[in-house]
Parts: sequence; C-alpha cells; structure tokens
Amino acid sequence: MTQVRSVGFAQEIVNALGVRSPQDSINAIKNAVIKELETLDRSVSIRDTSYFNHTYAPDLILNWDATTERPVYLRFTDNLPELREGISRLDFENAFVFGLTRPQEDAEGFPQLEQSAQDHQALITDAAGIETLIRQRSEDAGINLLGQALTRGGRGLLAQPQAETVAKTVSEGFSAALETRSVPTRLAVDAIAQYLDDPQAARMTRVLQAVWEGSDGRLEQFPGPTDLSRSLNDDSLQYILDVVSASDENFWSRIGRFLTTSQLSRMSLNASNTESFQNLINANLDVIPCRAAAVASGAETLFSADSEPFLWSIRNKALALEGPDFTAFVADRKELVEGKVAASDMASTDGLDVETLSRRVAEYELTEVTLRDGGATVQFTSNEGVGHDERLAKLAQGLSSSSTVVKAVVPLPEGQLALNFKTSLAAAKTTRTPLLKDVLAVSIPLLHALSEERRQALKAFLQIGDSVPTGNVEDLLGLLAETLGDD
Amino acid sequence: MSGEETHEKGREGARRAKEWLESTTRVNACWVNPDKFAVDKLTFPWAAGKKRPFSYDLGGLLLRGDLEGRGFYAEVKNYTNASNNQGAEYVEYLAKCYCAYLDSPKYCDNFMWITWHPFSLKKWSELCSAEEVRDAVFLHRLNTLGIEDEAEAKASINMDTCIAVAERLWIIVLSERQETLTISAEHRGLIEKFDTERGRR
Repeated sequence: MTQVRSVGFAQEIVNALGVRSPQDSINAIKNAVIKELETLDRSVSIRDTSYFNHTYAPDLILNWDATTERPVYLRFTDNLPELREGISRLDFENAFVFGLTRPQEDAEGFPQLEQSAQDHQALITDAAGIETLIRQRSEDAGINLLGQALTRGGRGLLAQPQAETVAKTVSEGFSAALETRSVPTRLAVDAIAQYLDDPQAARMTRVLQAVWEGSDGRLEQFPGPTDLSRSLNDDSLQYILDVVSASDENFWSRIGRFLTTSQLSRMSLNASNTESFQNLINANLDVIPCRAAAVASGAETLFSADSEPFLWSIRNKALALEGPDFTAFVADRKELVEGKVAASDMASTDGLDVETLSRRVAEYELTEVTLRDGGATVQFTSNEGVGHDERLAKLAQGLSSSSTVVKAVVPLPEGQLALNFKTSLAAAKTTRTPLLKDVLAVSIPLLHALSEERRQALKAFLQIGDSVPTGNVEDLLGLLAETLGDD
Repeated sequence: MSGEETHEKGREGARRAKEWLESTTRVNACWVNPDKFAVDKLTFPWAAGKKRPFSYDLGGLLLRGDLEGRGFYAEVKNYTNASNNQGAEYVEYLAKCYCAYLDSPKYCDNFMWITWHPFSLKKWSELCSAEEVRDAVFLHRLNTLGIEDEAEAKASINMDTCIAVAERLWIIVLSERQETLTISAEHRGLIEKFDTERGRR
C-alpha cells in the first residue's frame, strides 16, 4: 500500500470554492472532488456532467464497468433541512451526495438527514469524511476495502464523525477476526450492514469470514452471515495478502486449499505483500493445480546472498517462478502461457540432442520421445522409460547427426506432462490435472539447463519428496486404464 | 411578517425559482444565497458611496443553444400581493445591475427579476428599457456615480452601459400553477441521462 499523506482535499475544495470566476470555481471544485474520489477508490473512472449543484441532475458520474455507475451530487451543507429535502428531488437513484463543506457540528437536522439517506439509498458524506477514510487507509487495508465498498454501495450519513467511528469499528473487527474474537467482529459486521448496500456488504463480510476461517475460527461461530462456497474470492485473497503478515504456515494452508494459478495471477503484488505471496503459495504446493508451463531462459541475474534463489511472482499477467537464470510461467491452460516466452529466450529452439536429454532427465521417466530430422519424425515409446534406453541414442544416430529430440512425455504423480523443446512449453496431456510443483519440478530442468546443485535446490524448494501420495481406489483404476490404453 | 418569516419566505422563493429555472432544462442555478461560498459569487460592490456591497439571490449558467455558457444573476421576489415596495425595489435593482456590469462585465451576461406578483403596471412595457436603467442610475446616483448634483450626474451616466444592461434584463413572473407546468420528471430524467452519458474524463 502506497503511503498517502493527508493532502488536504477538504482544504483544496475550500480554496476552489473561493475562486472568484464562477466557471473557474466550478472547474476547480470538480477537479478537487475528482482527485479525492479517485484517491479513495483507485478503480473508479469519473465523468464530468457539466452540471453543478443542480436540483435534478448529477455533477459527476462514477463508473466501474459497463453496468456499474453511481451519480455524484455536489451540495452545500449550510442548511441541513434543505439538503434533506433536496435528496427526494434527485432524478438519479443511488446518489452519492458530496458535501462541499463541513456542516456545523451543532446544526439541527442530522437524524432526519440520516433517515432520508437510508430511505433513498443515498450516501451523504463530505470531503472531511472521505479524507478520514483515505488517511486511515494507508495504515489499514481493511479501511481500503471499506473505502472502495462505500464508494460503490455506501448509504447513510457518513460525515467526518461517523466516518471516524465506522473506520475504527471495521478496523477493530478485522483485527479481531484474525484472533477469532467474536464481539468486535460482530460489531464490524453490523457496521458493514448499516452503511453498505447488500452486494457490497456481502463482499466485505466475506473477507472478514476468510480471515476468521484462516485463523482457525469455526464457520458456525462466525458472528455474521456466512458464505458456504469454500473458495476465496479475489477481494478476500488480495486483502489477506495485503494485510496478514502471518508466518504461521497453517494460516496460509487453511485459506489456500482451493487456490488456482489463475486466481493467483489476478493478484496485485508490491513490496509489502510479496512475502505473504511466497508464504501463501509455498504453504499450498500440495494442492495448487496447474496444466501448463513455459520456461524462459535468461542471463544470470545477480542475486544477493540473502535472497532466495527462487521467487514466486506475477509476470506478464501470469503466475511465474523466477530463478537465477530462468523464468517459468504457469497457467491452467496451455493458451495462457503460449505467448509468454520470447523466441530469443527459448533454450533449444532446434530441440535437444539425445545426450543432453539423458543428462537432464536424471531420475525422471520419459514414456515417449519424438525425434526429428529434417522432414522426418520418429516417435519412440517404451513402458520401461525411454530416457535411459540405449536404443534411443542408436535411433538418433541412425537418423543423422543433426537429429534432435523435439518432444517428450513425462509421467507425473497425477497425469502426464507433454514437453515441447522447440517452444519451451509443457502441458498436461491427460484429463487428470497435475500439481504445480510437479509440473515445474519436471519442466524447468528439462526445458532449461540447470546445474545439479540448482536442480536439487529447486526440488527442495518445490517440496518434492515431501508429498504423501493421496491416491484412492478411483485413482488406481484410472491409472490402470491409462496404462492399458497406451499400448 | 416578522424578520425571520420574511427571511424564510425569501429563502423559499429562491428555492422555488431555482427549481423552476432548472426544470426548463436550460438553466443551472448553481449559486444560492445565503450558502456561504455562493454568496461571494453573487456579491458586487456599489460603484460609489459607502453602501455595503449587495448580492443577488441566485446565479448560475444558461445551457445549450445560443444561451450556452452565458451566466445569469437573479433577484427573486416571493411576493403574493401588492403590499410591498416592489416597484422601488426594482429600480434599485436596475442601479445595482449597472454597478455589477461596471465591476465585472464578463460575468454579467443576464440579469433576471423573478417575481410572483406583477408591479409597476403603468410602465410595464418599459421596465427593461435603457431609459429605465438610466433613470434608476440617476435616482441612486450617490452609490452609482458618487455625484449629488443632478446636472452633473445626468452628464456622467454612461449610456452605453445602460444600453448594455438593458439588453441583459429579463422579467419572469411565476405562479404556483405555472410552476407545475414543466417537463415531467420522467422526460427530464431522459434528457439528463443523455447529457451525462457523454462527458469528459
């Protein structure tokens, strides 16, 4: 989370209000308001309607996607009863009423204003209220989520005092959920329900629930409406990455049972959440599936002695494992990694020679190898494993000195992996989906030259040899069926 | 009526005028007296003398067609009978418009007198003439010209300015029933949707 110092949005608006030229004043006011709203919710795009303080038409339109919009009405707050009456006249629903100045704290009419806001599903706030949320947000990712949720679906009166209270309650709720403390969590759930419309309230409560469960809280004991779908939505995952700096492997393991490479690739990474990202993936290598990988070979990068040689990251919108001289992209579908590796980064665009292949295969099996020599192709399969079979070398020699291995198939604990040396791609061949760790443990050393030392380090990193076979009778039957089918 | 009741009535008048103007879809009455920051936009100094600056009740922009981008200021008189000084107040208003135009011509595109009760019927058809403006400036010469002497004052009235002000004068007479005879909310919503679909950013 980038640090945001209070830039005095409220003051900027006041300055804009003081500009003598009416048109210049309106432009300056709107620019200041737009800046503040964009800071509160970075995902919003804002249109200027060229109306200002109009009885019926909005001043700005907030837009998130093709169907989600919200009108913003800029209003003076000198007269609260008039403001309240004005809300019933607005032509657009779901209004975001933005008070340009702070109402007098002792002004009359606040309860009626709150009631009117609820009645019309409108949010009434002011620059100072929003600034409170923005300021607290830099210290508290839960407030960041709240800010975005309020922009989209907030309702009720949320001037500065209310904003302060809600921010505090929600913040305490998130901390409490991390410790499965029921009372503050429930207070946060209630505040969320009071100030957000149903879709936004559900979204935020879902995150609280995720934190609760991750902290080993029982779902039945969560003090709020529960979502039984088991998998985390992107919001919840992003929030947890941003906020929770747990080193407890169990926490990450609990929340990551349904992770996919697709969901991981949608996360937003920065300096402060990258460690959590590593923890998250490493704690769930026993379950994260993957069906395709592409390996890019690059120049050796200088790693400091302290840093890990292998790092999970997101490159080019795909989940990737970065090594000292390679980057491996992974995805749930072959199509998603196909374009990721530039031709210049492919290790062996002509294929491998047999000797190199045998060396790289090491302890792995190959059930199939495809040799190419000019226009001729030979496919060699064997139940006993082809990689160390002497006949393979003889076959290659028999073709010509320029024949190379272009493809190979490696059986994994789950399913089989088809490797293409020319395109540096690996893809699951069968309907059974392999684990990410197994795909990488095979594809990286085969598609890219790794020293023995690094190879062992990679194995250790990917926890190969740690996993307990989780097969059942169905798996066994499936395996049998595949083997029989291959003959 | 007590001072407070007058004030309330005045405020209600301004609100109704704003609403009616905006329901024509040709006006955006942005600035409403006495909202603190709006008042600054509506206030002008007298051209001379020691009188405190005056402020209009409403101000804003006109929309679309030939009116697009033009500003306006409005004085609103929520009078329901003739027991007041509307005639004299109108004359003072003309003098004020003269001063406002001298002070900031680029803001003063239109001056509107919005009322619920007709007045000065004998000169009704001349109320927006340059001569009327001139006479008003003369009557209030201490604050428009700073000259007490009549002859001297007459000579120093800027007739071009009077003509310019006269060209900018509107008189709008409303009535309760008339206020309901506007575009329906439904149709108004359509127009606004059309407008707000476009927009910068």
